Amino acid sequence: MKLKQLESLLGDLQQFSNPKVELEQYPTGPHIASRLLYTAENSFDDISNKVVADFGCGCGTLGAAAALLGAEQVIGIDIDSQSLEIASMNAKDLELDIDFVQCDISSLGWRGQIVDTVVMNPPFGTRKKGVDMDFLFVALKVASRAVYSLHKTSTRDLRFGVPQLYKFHKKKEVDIAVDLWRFVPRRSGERTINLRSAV
Amino acid sequence: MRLLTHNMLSSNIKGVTNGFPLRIQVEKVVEKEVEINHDFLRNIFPKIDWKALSDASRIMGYNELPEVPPEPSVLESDIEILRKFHHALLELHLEEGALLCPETGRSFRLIRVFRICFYSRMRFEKMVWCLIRLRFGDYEF
Repeated sequence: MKLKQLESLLGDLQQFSNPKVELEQYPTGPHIASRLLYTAENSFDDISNKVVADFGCGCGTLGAAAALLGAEQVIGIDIDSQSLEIASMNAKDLELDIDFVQCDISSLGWRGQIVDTVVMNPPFGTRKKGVDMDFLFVALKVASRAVYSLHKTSTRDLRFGVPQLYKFHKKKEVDIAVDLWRFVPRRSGERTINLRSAV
Repeated sequence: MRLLTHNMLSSNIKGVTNGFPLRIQVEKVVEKEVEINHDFLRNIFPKIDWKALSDASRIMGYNELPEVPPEPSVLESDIEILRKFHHALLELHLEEGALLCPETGRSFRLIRVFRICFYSRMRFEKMVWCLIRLRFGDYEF
């Protein structure tokens, strides 16, 4: 699948209609989601024929992108049932088979490194400090190949358009700079790689 | 939900010592055909807890999977066992039901793909728009 085709399919997905501020529900835009997954697939072979999990999946954009790129199994986890319902409708619209589980990320255990790849856009931790690290902590325990995660940064490498969803955003739209990180489990001779330059 | 997902998850609730496997509460099981991918099955085989898979498939009404795991070499040659493994792992779906923590009984709700709710007028309009788009296929609006 071509990048443009992926982006346009993701652009048709429904997003949060009533985002919950305490859960920091920012949608992952089609631009950033398509590039994240496209890089994971084409540069690192981390998606097709793999088991992929989307933590804090929200409306399921990243998970849907993984399924579109040929992941054998996709699991979406989120605490919010309303966004999971949108996510499951999105999956149905695209005729994708994704398993969604409603659960707090910390109360769900995983049997070791059973997932190949985790893709996620976790809460940035601006409302509840450290919550982004909680997500990362679980993801790193679960993924045997790699974790792709978006994190807020002061360096503006990827631009993350947040439409005016919350009232306290004064400007019409705010660009939040985020980094895409790719983490790999440490094996001999492997290091954590920052993907900034790749995207 | 596929049994592959069930095989991965456990309960991590505070105080629980052994949260695996989650208990399955079956309300409705459906079978969805998936193309068999031999390489994927052979790669995932060593990661699967066979007993949990075979027990779960029995709960879901599929009795063909042997209780004792086959040798990995058997998977290379025996297409029949590979097909059964594929069916139990990827084609049996828990369409309605719940996963329960084996010790506390707390449930992890599954979200059905076909569940549709209308919360607000806004979403209703979006939904209609979506249906129109689907009907007209490739035409742009």
